[in-house]
Amino acid sequence: MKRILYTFIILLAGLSVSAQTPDQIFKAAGSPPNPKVQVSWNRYYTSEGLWAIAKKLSEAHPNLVKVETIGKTYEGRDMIALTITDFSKGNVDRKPGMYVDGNIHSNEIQGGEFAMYTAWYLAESWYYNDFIKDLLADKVFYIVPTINPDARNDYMKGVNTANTPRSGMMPIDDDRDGLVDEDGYDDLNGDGEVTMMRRKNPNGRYIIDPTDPRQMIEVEAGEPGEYEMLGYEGKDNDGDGEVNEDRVGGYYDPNRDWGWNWQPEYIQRGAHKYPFSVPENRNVMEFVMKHPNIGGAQSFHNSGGMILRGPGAEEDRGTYNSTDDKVYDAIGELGESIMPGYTYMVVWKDLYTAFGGELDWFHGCRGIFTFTNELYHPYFMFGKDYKGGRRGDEVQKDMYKFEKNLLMTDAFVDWKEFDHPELGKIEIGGFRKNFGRDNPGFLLENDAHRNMAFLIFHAFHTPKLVIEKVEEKDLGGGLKQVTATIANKRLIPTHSSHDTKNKIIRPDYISLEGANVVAGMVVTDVDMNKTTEQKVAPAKIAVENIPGMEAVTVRWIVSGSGKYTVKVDSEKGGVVTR
Amino acid sequence: MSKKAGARLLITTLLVTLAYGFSQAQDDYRSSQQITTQLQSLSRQYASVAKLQSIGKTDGGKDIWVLTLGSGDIDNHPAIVVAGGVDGRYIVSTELALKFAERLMASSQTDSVKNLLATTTFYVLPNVNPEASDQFFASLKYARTGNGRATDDDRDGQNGEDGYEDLNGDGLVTMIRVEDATGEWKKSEADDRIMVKAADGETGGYLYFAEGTDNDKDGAFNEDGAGGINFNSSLTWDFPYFQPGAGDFPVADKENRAVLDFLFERWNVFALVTFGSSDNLNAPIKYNAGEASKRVLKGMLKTDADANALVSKSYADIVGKKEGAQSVVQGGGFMEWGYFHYARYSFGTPAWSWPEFKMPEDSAAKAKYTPNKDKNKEVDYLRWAEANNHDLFVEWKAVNHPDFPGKKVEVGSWKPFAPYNPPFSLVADISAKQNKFIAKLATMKPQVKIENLTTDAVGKGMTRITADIFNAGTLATMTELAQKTRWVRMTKVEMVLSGSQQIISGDKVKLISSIEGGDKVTMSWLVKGSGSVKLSAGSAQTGIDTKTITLK
Repeated sequence: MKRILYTFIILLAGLSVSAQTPDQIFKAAGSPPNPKVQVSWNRYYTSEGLWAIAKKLSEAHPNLVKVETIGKTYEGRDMIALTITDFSKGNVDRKPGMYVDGNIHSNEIQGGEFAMYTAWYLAESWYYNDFIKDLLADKVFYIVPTINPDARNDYMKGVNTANTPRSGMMPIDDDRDGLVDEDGYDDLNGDGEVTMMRRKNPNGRYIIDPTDPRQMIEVEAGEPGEYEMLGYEGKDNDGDGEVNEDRVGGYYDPNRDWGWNWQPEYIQRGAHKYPFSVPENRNVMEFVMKHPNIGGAQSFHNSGGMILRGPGAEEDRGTYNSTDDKVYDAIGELGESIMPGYTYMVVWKDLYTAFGGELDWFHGCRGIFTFTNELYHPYFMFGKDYKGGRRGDEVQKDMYKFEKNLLMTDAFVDWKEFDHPELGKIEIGGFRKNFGRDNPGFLLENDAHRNMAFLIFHAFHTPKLVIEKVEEKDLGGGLKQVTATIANKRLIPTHSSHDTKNKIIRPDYISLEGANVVAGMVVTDVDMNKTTEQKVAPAKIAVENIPGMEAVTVRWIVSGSGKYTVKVDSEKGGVVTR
Repeated sequence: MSKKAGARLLITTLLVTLAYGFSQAQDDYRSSQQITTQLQSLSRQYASVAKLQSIGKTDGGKDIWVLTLGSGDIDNHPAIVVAGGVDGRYIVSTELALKFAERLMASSQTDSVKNLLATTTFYVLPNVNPEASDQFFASLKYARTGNGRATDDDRDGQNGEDGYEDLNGDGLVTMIRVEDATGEWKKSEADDRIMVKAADGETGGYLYFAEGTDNDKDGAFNEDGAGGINFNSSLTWDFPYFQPGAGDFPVADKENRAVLDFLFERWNVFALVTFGSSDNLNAPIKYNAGEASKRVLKGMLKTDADANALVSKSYADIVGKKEGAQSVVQGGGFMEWGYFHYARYSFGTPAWSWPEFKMPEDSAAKAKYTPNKDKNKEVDYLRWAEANNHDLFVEWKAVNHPDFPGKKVEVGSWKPFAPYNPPFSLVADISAKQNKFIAKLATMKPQVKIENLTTDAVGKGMTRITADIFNAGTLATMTELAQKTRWVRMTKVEMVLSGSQQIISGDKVKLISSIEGGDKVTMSWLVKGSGSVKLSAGSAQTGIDTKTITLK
């Protein structure tokens, strides 16, 4: 005991370096007042940085957070998953589960922080928030903060733009010349950034913006220009006459690698060899296959303020029906209301067709209700709705204003002359890679919290099964009729329509245990007493689905008397008995 | 003798040598264990031209073997994949792939084969799904497509709960027929041992299905037996989601991943020959503009369909024309993957089909047979088998069946595997023809050569170099489809300079996507400097030609 106390004091002492004493704090509504694990949510963490937070959380909250390794990355890093639930309540493997990940595209980093914020918030809030307490008693969250940890680090530490790398670190021969990754960007001026190249040229089509000399604008037709734009900082490293044409980490897209309606690269740019030929995705797939209790999933991308759901391809329209649509709409529309700037969209219809996306696999192969959020939106700069014109001129101009007035010019590298080996005298300058797609520091926690609230609503609505009524009726001759009504008190059914149609997840079993069951049946119409008998193994009735916010009724004919138990056993709805 | 005529003679010799090489005493199909032993012995005996590697193991611990045949820079010689075992029911497919390797090795000291191996690489994968085909050698024999993975074929939440039963105790899973007024099957008029589906409006009187009981009492018979994933329906093109044997998603198992991972690293593969159920050799896949222009491609592109027709014609010339043949294309199949997703020339053939029975001329002999008015192929095959003393059929015999108390139930019909595989005594001849075809396909390989190289002095230390980058082969340097994918390399033309040499005009590196067979791309360079430069052209699947050029 003494030793435990001693350890505890040491632990406290360690934490108190950054923590406040309780009497120095006044609680802000909705946030943990004095968290055991202090995390600054206005900066980004490398993969190892995220792991370190995960480890601290599991040490500080052993009854709420466990960390496990789910496999190795291409470069040999461990991939980790956090399991967040109240481990003292129920069988964790059988609780309805919510899967969360981020950063599948390696440059879309904030998904890592948003996912980790969710883990942190759930654990730190459990102690004082009854809603979270009940949620973690009922549900389990599986959180993989980054599913592309190798290239997450490369984005942060390597020679990249805001758009690279999008893939993982497997070397790819982008220009099909038999060499891999032989001509990437170059940090020519050694400032740690890849920015833009421009050159004075009386025949160029650009001029310097008179309102902000840092910005280049295209001249009107018929007007003379002063500069030509020469693309991202780089040179022809392999002497083939092309610049930056085969860079590290290019090009395959981990979000075109999943096993539902996968299509090869000539149909779906970015596809790799076959589904799950990207090792990081394979680890996630195996993890999800091992957890059939997952009923909801959320992945985080950037950017543009979108709440996306499938189908990813027009060809898959038939895999969602109106019953599923209603569930998606209810969750998606709540998302729009709690995340100003975000729009609820269907991938193929409102964005573009993409085959082999992660959300399509979750829905198509596992019957899991899934959203992908594109984090961060220009709306966050000045509260302006650009009406979808996120790359328009107005957004561009506002980015310069925002960067100047709110980021104190921290995100721009001023144009400077450079003597280029092939291009001669040029100038190099432009936005740093951390600006444009990543949330600026002061906008990180706000956006993370709203997205977390969205996924908590989603998780809340994974199935909750309740045995509402068990009624008996004497049929005479020693026979008794037992009728049980099982309700699902949440939006999400135990089987999506696509799942029911294709029998993806096994049926829900409703069993009468401890009784001598003579016959069993599903009651299809309670009022008119219509039933469908199950002739084989009548004590364990197989029900194909328990719909959201509705109920199913089953009936047994039993002989003799005595106590019995009704047991509901559903992969996605959990186990309940009465 | 002209160069061309010499080459033609060499090719003819090659075809003859390969077709009728040595054959070893062997009287039946071989198990994966026997195949392993034979592959190991081949790779030992012909170590300089044959390398054996295991590219993975099945759940049951069986190796997936690749035997690589070739000499010299084998990674940069155009290569043909020869694959068997993709459909476990076709055990002959494994035998044919293996026999190809055996014959090639047995002749590997002849000039023609030596030359072939020095310019062409063969990747022989005799059996990619040994767990399935080994059911041929099990105590309960049945034609199996699934590997060793436990699967839920009927998607009821249980794995393998209703397999076959050997009701008559003969060690074979055949068929059962049950007298039942609701049955849709009837006996053939030509031979009452053969069951045929009753026509619309006609009563059948028989239930007819595979031998076994309804173990899980779900009304379906033998719908979820042992195993597994069917290699030939598990690949990415037109994947049959939620169908038995396909797996949860494409390429879900060890065998298919091992094979695809291996092949994606083989840049030199220009063609695949797959023995199995898919067929575009007896009849080519026809070009269909609608199918070929869908976003999710369902049909061959035009020039590739033309190439298929050309190769299919060569096939018919060698093995004989099969009248009325139709191409057979299957979702998730390997031959299909080879073209649609691997973007190489891909060919498939079962190599054998049911022989035709010829009615005897003699009227007394003829009288023994009821005329086969419906031209029922099963009846015909059975008559052929019996006339040639091949024991392929189990005569119907009554049994007691627990699911049909009081009903007449009989067990009988074809022995398992008999419908898919020739009697073994025919295999040697079939193999000889298939070998000849593969050798012919090798002669059609794309070959990039630098031809018509000229140098002109332009003055002031400048030389103009002109050359034709010529495809001396029959097939294009890549399929039309491959031009859209990164998994096939471009023909790379590179001028390598040294010292102070300089290119004044022309490409230092030029990537050419495709050159049709017999076509050329003419290039020229203006090089300043003295000494010599090196010009190379080609890619792994076309071979790489190099010329040293002295500057003027």
